[in-house]
Amino acid sequence: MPLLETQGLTKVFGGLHAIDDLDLHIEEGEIVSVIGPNGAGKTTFFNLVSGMIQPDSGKILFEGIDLVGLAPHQILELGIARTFQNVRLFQNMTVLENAMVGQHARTRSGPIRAILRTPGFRAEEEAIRRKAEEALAFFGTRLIGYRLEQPAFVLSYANRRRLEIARAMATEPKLLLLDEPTAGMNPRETLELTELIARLRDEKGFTICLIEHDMRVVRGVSDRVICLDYGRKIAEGTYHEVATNERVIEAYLGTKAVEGV
Amino acid sequence: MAEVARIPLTETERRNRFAWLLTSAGGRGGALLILILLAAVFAVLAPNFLTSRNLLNILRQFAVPGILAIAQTLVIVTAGIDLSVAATAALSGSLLAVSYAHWGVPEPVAWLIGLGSGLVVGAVNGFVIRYWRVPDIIATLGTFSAVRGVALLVTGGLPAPSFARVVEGRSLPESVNTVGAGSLGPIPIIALVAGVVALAGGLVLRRTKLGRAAMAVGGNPVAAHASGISVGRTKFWIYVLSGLISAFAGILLAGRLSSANALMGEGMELQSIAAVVVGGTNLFGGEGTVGGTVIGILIIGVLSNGLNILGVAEFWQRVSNGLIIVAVVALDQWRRRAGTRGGRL
Repeated sequence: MPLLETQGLTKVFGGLHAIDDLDLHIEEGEIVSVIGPNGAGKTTFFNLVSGMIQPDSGKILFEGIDLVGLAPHQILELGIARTFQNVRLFQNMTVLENAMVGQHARTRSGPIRAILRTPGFRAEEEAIRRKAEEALAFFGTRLIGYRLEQPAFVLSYANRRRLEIARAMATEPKLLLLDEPTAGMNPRETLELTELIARLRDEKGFTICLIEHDMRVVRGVSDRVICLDYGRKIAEGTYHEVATNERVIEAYLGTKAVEGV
Repeated sequence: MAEVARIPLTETERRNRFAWLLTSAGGRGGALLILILLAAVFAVLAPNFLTSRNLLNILRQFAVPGILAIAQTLVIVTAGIDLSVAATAALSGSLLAVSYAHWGVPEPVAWLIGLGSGLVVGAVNGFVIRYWRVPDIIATLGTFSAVRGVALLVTGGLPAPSFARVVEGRSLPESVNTVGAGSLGPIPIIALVAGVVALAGGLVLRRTKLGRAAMAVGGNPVAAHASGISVGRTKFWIYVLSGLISAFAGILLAGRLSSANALMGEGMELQSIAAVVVGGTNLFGGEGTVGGTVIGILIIGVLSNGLNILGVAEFWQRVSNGLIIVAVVALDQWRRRAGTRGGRL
């Protein structure tokens, strides 16, 4: 059974088929890149899987459970976390707090235990903090040390992206959806993050699906590449297969002039 | 945890870091400073201001608005607003008085009816906002009006208990009179109760799952979703909690006045919002403290009390109240901008 599978997934905005009868699957332990020209439906696909929007028809099966109709927090509890193309952080919270919030769904202490500060509550707090720090330490020295106590709004753009990934990691997902993780990063940072994505799978055991425009990143990390265009899957395979696929080239560069116009 | 590494800061980061220090040093500190300044001015100008009797009087008078402001704080950190807090208080106090004195229910049942009415109003607010997608300000504007109407219907527009309708010669329950008007040594019990509510409110906001979720929802709803927080559910429960706290405040108010009426506490919803904002809570959600709100209500209380002692006419007080609220928030905005050099918001 694939970890994630969509069957006939369709989402229509007005007259536009943002996702059109999409069947795809992601196996456990894979790194899959979703590529495609702007407006191909990549982010819509993420929004559907993470429950931010509901499909018009079709199924989204995660470990065999249909996600359609579930709220975002329920999907997160099942084990899917995501990041956003435009970074969404709690600007006024510290770096550490941002990562700690990620474990919200996994905590159980109620108000009584919190107010009485029972040993159980304190132990849970300690565990949350440790896990958050562990997620942050994954990025080397960039998010730890004095930065733990800095509010998110002072961070550089690249660090905000890293923090968002750390928050997603802290939710202890099985599947990590990364929406353009390297957007706006310089070449060195991009290279570093490419290696990091591979380590996320190898060391932490996450299955990863990413949307990416930077083909060096896609080539560097992907086990498999899926290309979308107008909400449909037009190609699928290794990086090489997809990159040389005629329909993909057409989608990116337009059809040959020979065929008319 | 890994070793604490020191990587050198870039110039922008250094500036940002300094700005951040400035911001966190301000916040509540700014309002506290204004409170101290105000108190100092009145201590010099108004002869009887700095007597324990007068200060305790301020606490007694502003305990109920303070509790409403604490409820309001919980709502405002979620980027919501609850215009129905004072109406809810009036309904709860009225229902308690009417059910106990007119209908003759036992004392604990009257308490439950009073507090329960707050839960119902809160749940209605939460439901309408969550499922009907009505903006918070509109939903609670609706209950602001409707709930007063229900309170008027319950009391028939008369103070309760009203002499002609009481059974067994009942008045307000003794417990209500005690918490509302009694004192423990020199300290009004109502002020102590308000203090306990403030402590509990602060703990809820900072330590509980609901409170932290509320902060997150107000800070960035999309990020809250991504962190596994249900925005709708969080707001629903925050409104229920706000209703419950408001209902409790209404019972205290009835006790303090020795009688309830459907129109009591009018204007307190706006006062509560003013206290929250003066206390440094961001009206757009995501940041705020109960401690700041306590200082906010004390500023409003000290100002009104001091001007009273100085014999400034009520008409002028309304003007100065408005000016002070706007000035404090303008100052806060300016400090934030200066602090971050346009770095955020």
